[in-house]
Amino acid sequence: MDLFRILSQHAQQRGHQIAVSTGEETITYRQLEEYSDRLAACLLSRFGPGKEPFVVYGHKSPWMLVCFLACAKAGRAYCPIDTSLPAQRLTEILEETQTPVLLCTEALPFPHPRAFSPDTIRSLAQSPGMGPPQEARVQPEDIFYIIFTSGSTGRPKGVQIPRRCLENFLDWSCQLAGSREDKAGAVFLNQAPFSFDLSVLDTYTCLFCGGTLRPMTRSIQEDYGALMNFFQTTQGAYFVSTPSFAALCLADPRFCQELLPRLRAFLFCGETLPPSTARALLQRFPRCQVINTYGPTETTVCVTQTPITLSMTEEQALPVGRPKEGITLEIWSPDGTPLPYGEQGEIVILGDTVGAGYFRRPDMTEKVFCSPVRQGKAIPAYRTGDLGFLSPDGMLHFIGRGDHQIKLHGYRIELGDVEENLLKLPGVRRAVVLPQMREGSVHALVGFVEREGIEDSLAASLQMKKQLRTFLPGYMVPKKLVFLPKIPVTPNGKTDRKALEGMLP
Amino acid sequence: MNTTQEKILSILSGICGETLEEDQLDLDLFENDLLDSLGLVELLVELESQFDVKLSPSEVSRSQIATPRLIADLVESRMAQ
Repeated sequence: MDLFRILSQHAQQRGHQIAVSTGEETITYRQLEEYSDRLAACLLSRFGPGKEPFVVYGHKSPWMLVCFLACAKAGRAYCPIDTSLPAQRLTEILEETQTPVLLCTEALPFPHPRAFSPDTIRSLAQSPGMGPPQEARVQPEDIFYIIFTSGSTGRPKGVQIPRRCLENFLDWSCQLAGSREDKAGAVFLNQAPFSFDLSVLDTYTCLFCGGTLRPMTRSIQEDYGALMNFFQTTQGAYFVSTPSFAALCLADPRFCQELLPRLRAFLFCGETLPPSTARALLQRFPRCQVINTYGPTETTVCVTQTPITLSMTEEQALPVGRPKEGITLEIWSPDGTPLPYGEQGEIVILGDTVGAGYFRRPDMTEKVFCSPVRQGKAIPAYRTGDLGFLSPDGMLHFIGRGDHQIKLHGYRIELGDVEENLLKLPGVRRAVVLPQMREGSVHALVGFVEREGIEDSLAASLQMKKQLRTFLPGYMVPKKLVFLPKIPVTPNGKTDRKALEGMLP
Repeated sequence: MNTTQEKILSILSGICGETLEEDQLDLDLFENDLLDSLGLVELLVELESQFDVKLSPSEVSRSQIATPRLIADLVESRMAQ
């Protein structure tokens, strides 16, 4: 369904309902429509009808959504950046996108000639006038958003999602854990930053259904007292987060159905859901469904879903679900031949939410996006690099990665990205980063560093981690650094990862 | 250094991934990014299993547990109750 038309209907039919609120600041559906229309018209007259994306910088302000929709209504893809991103990484993305304007809903860490301040955005959005013409909007095949993820060479890469893919996704996500009608007026809790595509699941599903979005700021997420208070006052119906975040909430005994009496469902995406987390949630929230989903950013948030039952949590690992309508899953052998049920191989996703590749990286796009012919028709497909198998009932089981990409607390990290950034530090000759596993999930990153003239001291390690934090988001900084006079190599000269694995704490 | 402090340093070393010793009793765990929200939860679980001191995450503020010494003091005051 047409997202823009649905938002206009909400503005007319539920104009006074809150679309998004942080408690401090609130925007209704009518305001969302009017502000985004006005801001879009201003952006269009100032920057014309080009296709360069606009960068939107901020954290959890309701104005983030105004900016996203204004970009789309002005015919531009938007690229969301969270305030937690270090200045250097932000600079790289600004260079990569060549954005004509940087819309800031929070103060930038450095002055930027093309930045619009929060005050400028507000005054443009609230200025009198018309919206942009409908033809100016992002069309079904145009890119709606670009989300940057970790790249193995140390440079982030932008995943491009066309409007058509987002709408195909929403036609399905609005039916997760109940109908679209059930979700009208319901409160959706948002945990993930908007720069992480998990947030698309809560934010756009909420807007599509006419719900109310309640984003949790970082400061609330880091303070249990504030967090439990937030749950009590917001009365959420849909809880969308990474499994790690739910596990963190479960550490507080007050996190149960009594605290959130209206809660109907937990929707998980972004990393492996441990059976113990799912079981604890089902026990503490007897009126809630726990839904597991799976999918990479490249194919629009997630493409499978399954409700998790208590009996499933007796198994070692949970299934990730069956594909949505419009998507087929295949398991491929290394040479690209589809494998039968039960056999392990690479998970390949084919269908109507496969995105448009990487922003200005045709070489990287060509490696993983393809269009195999099925029943005489070429179908867009994405090779995930994930290993898994399909059971005869069509259920997908995720096993792990076939390469050096890992998921830590929902964040997707290329180990090579961390390694390349370690090499930028003075005196570092070689660096290898390995995941430390616990109960089948990545628990932490450990960096092995070959560096001259350094004693393995806590001070040196803390100092290096501090430097690393200026280039990389905090979640990418290894928890432990091990200093070695020489990183072991195999007889044919490759890094001996097995030997290093033996040295993991 | 008393035995509580010693045990706390050993628990923290396991959680932070760094070996903490006696001269780090006053190291700020949050400022040095050694402890985050998930680490905090692990710490509370360990305190319960090793000292039988039950603390819910919302009862303790970061300033009460910012250093190994403060954590040891908190544990001892709870054990005395």
